[in-house]
Amino acid sequence: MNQFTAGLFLLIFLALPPVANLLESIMVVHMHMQMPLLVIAGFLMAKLVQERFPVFFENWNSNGVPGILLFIIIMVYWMIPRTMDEALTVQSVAIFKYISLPFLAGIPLRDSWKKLGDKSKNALIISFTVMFFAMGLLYIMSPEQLCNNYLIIEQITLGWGFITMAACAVVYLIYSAVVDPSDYV
Amino acid sequence: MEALKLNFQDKTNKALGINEEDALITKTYMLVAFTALLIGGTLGLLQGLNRAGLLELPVWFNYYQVLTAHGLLLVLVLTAFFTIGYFYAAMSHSLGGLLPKVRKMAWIGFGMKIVGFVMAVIPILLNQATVMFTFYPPMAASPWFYIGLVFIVLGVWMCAFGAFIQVANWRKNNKGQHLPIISYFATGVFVLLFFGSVPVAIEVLYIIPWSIGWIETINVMLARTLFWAFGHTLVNIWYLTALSAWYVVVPKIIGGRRFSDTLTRLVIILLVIMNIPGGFHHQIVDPGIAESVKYMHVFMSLAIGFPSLMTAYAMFSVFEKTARKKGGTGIFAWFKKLPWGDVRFLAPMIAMIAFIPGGAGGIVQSTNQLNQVVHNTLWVVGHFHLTVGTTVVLTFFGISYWLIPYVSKRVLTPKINKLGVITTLIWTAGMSFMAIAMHWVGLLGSPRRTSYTTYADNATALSWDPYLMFLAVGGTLLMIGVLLQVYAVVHLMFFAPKGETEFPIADVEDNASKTPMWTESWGRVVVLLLLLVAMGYVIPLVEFIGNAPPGSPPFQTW
Amino acid sequence: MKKNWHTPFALALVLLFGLSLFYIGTDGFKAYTAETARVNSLIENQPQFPEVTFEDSKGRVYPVSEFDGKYVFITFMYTYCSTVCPILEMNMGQVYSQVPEEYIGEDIVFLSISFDPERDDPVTLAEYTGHFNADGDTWRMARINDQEELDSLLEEFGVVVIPYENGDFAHNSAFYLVDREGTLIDVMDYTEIGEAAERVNTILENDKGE
Repeated sequence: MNQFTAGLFLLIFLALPPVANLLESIMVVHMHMQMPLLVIAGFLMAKLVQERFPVFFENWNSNGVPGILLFIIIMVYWMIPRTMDEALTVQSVAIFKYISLPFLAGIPLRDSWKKLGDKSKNALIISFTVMFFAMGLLYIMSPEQLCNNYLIIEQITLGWGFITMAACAVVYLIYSAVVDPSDYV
Repeated sequence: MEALKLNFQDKTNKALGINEEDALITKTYMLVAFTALLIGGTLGLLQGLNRAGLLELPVWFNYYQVLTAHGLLLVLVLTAFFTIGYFYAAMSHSLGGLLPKVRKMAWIGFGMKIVGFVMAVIPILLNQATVMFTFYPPMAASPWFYIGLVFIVLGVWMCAFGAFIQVANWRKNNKGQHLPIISYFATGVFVLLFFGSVPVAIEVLYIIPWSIGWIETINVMLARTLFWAFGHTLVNIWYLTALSAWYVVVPKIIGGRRFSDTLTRLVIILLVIMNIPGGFHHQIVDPGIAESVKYMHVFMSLAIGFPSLMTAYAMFSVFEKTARKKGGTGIFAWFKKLPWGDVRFLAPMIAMIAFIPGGAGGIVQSTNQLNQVVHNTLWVVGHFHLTVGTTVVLTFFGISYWLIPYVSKRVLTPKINKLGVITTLIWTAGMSFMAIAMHWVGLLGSPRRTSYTTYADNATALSWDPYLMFLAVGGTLLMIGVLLQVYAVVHLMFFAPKGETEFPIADVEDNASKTPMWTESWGRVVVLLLLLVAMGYVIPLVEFIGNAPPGSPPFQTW
Repeated sequence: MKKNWHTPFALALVLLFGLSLFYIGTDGFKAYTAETARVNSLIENQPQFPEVTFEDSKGRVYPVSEFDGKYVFITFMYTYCSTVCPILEMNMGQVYSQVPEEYIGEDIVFLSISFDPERDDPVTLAEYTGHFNADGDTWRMARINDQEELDSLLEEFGVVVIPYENGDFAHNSAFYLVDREGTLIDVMDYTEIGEAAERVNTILENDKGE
């Protein structure tokens, strides 16, 4: 099974109504499992797309910056509380979710990642870490219900999900700063 | 220069066998492990006889004390000491001898574990820690019991860090090379040992002030969750240890090559990453976790079955290939070409076969509805006597027949080999009687962790009795097995004829493709592990802490 | 070397796309939560109070036309609620006491609507009026027995009610103000009592002045 099929299969699997309902019924799973999996689906499918349209990516994403910017925009967009709600209640937004995350975030991420330098990569990870800490605090501290479809306790859970993910990113950053892989490999 | 020296050391190590100081570590760990087997096994027999209604235990050493000690000795002491002793020998062998620093750490770790163990055992003997081996609140033991556990965990950490230092040092001196496969297994096991025991360390540090009385109540659900994050990981650490022997050692013993190196390493990585959140399937009937969350966790737990299926495929592929090379034919007839008379093969082979029903039973009981039928019945006890008591322990037995001669610089004589084969068969028979009867009577409703009672001659309870009799039969057979095994271990360690025994590590196939270098990136593996743990635990933990029910004061139910 | 114009152009395009996405997604950077968006659109669209039949704490049954010609100050609640509803009702009571007495009953009626008709029968509601010193006439508490009518009202006024375990509901809370013609004219933050009272009084005064 090549990567494209795997990605497509994953996308279809995630879009199946029972799977989607289950994942979307828990706020933190909706944001931190379903959405990243959709990005991964696109990431996997990217290979074939890159092979089919090499010139397109070469021309329009030569240094990786437009692609990564598109990725950031899509990711940030789906972190807005309102989009989470509307993905559940407004059909067009739901469809947009299944299209934007794989195709406008997953594919550009894969194409851009290799083109970026080490510094840009680290800068990206650091900024997402900071953003995750901020979003985590927002969701934990917010006294009011930010999403009408989820309870306050789920919102706090999501906040901690953000914080723990950011903490993992910090572990990774420290690891890559302290350990020089060329010492070992 | 450094590398050259190391290379030299490596060669002497392989030519002359393990050096004395490293051997002493493993020998000591093995002695403790098999002493634990002897005492723990005896206690097991007492329990079996009690459950069959044949033996009334005295008031000063009751059924629940016996059960606590049996569990502690066999699931903590035997396994931990065996695993650490085995992998330290493996690292010594494959990484050019242990560093003096690491050796010292292994001894400090040993001391801490022994101190901790003694501290935990005394309250058990005094009947002040009869909490059984899944120590979760609100049952509270004497604080000393928990302080002892802290020491055991710290001792294990010491050994884990020793292993990390050893591995990092080797990699620095052997750039561009893959970590030898057996040490790769060791790394996976020690990573899991460390991260898996973090939750239980937190739990115990929370329990201690509560059992002393400094804090009045404890959050029971939180404590249980922390316990199982550790408990299930521990189970899989033994499994991973057994896997190392299956993948690396068994192919060499049958005279074959081992299965794809990449796949082996992938299996290790998957098991390390996916393990810790797996603990939730022990809490399927617990309150406080939404059904959808449980459902996802079961999905997650069953995902661990995937590497197991890959393993099953890999093992049988190796067997068939080797047997056919030796002239085996037919669809199944090649089976006869396998060295069934060699205990070093027979024991792990039966262990693997036992894992087929063992794993299937595991899948059954991690299903919500079916779990409700068998939860806290003898079924579960039957399950882990099949997986741990048979699969893991028989693999350990199989390992002991070459590992102990290897560290004691002696040889396995045909006589002891024969004794080993007999031990294996007796063990298999004993466990079959016991495990099958336990599964069956569990389905009929007989509870676990309950001393013999007829419930005032209730008809249902009386109908369990014939099955419970098998527990006594199995227990007796197992006791014979324990005695034979301990005899073999002592003999191989101190009395067998002197000679060279090799550490059997199979080679990969000649035409094997190169293993990709990403498999060496343990940092990334650990980050992924943490990420999965974070995702798996954030929902229930926030729920348990945020919507905490009133806490519970300590209870002594015995 | 030929300068690659594609990349800067792509960058600009992506930025433009992002900007419009966020602009559309947040109604022009105004609403970052669905709740704000809901309130904004309610105020903008001014939906009509749908046809429903009430049964109040005194057991009286009447259609919505009962309130024709009067402003209605509305909250949505259920009496079993132990978290936000008591606060909501208490705050409502404070608004009630800050409205000049001359308007009460004449120009404005306070109405607490239960969305849990199964348990909130007139007896329960009557008991609940007692907790907040509501007289049952100028401040009424009522249920809507017909589930379809209730749903249409909740839908029309954008009240989200999620039942969860133990018979509790998660729901959004606000003060709703309906004018003499039955049109929703404002949705107010229920925690800002002073602000809400001021707004109600201004509307009533202006109305009188005309």
